[in-house]
Amino acid sequence: MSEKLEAMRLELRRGILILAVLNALKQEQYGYSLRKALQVVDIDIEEGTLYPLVRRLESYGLLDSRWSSEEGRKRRYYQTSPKGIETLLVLQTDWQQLNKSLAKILEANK
Amino acid sequence: MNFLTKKSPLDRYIADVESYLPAKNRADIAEELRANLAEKLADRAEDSDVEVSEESEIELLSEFGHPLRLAAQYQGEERSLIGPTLYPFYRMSVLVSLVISTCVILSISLAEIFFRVDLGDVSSPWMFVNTYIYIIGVITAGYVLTERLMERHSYLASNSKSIQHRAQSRNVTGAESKSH
Repeated sequence: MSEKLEAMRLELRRGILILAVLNALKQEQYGYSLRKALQVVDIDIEEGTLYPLVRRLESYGLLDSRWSSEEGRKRRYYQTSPKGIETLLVLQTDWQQLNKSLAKILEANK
Repeated sequence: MNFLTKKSPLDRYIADVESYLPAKNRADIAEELRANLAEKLADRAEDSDVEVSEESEIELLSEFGHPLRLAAQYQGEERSLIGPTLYPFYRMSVLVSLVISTCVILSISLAEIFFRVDLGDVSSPWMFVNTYIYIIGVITAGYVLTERLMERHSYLASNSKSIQHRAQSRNVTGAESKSH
């Protein structure tokens, strides 16, 4: 069961992570700094999941990216594109709506 | 001295991941991964006040898991040859074709026995195997092609249009609830 449970938890988190990433990248970040920024707000996401996810969102046109090198360090910066912001707002409304509905139902389980 | 030519565990790991990545963007993804990992490594070394060493590299990499697993995360959604939407139809097609072809071959074989018609090599057991392989191959190829075409089509139809549509319908319902 625990393996199945783990898969279910991952699935539950996956969609929400997109919301978190799109929101966090309203400010420009590179991979590792994004990871740390998410950790600060208690969203612990494996790097092996986060970095590919960022790439995927970029390929959908939801993120803009650029390479930069400061102090001899190459970094690939990402920022949520206008289309990404539009998507974020739609997803955010959906999420809040769902959360409200579920809160009512799940209240009884406390 | 082989100091300069010797590759660090990080180098080897990245090269390994890179070899499994999809050809498109391969070098770019590898470079980004290296930059992120190198920075994490430096960060850790600074926290615990030690120099970056081979041991610390190995420790970090072992947390990342097998290169193949990491590379697989970059494959995106095009991973399945025949997706879950088409799969039930695919299975049905294969099943039906196998049943039909078995009936056809059997009746040919029976005709050969009862009416002594010589149809050449048909009745050999290999005929079954060859036919099955051929049929499954052709059907699979057809479905894979369909899957690819569907992918391209839904890619064009998705994203901006559907988002705009949803945003519009949301505005409409929003306006309605306000007027109440």
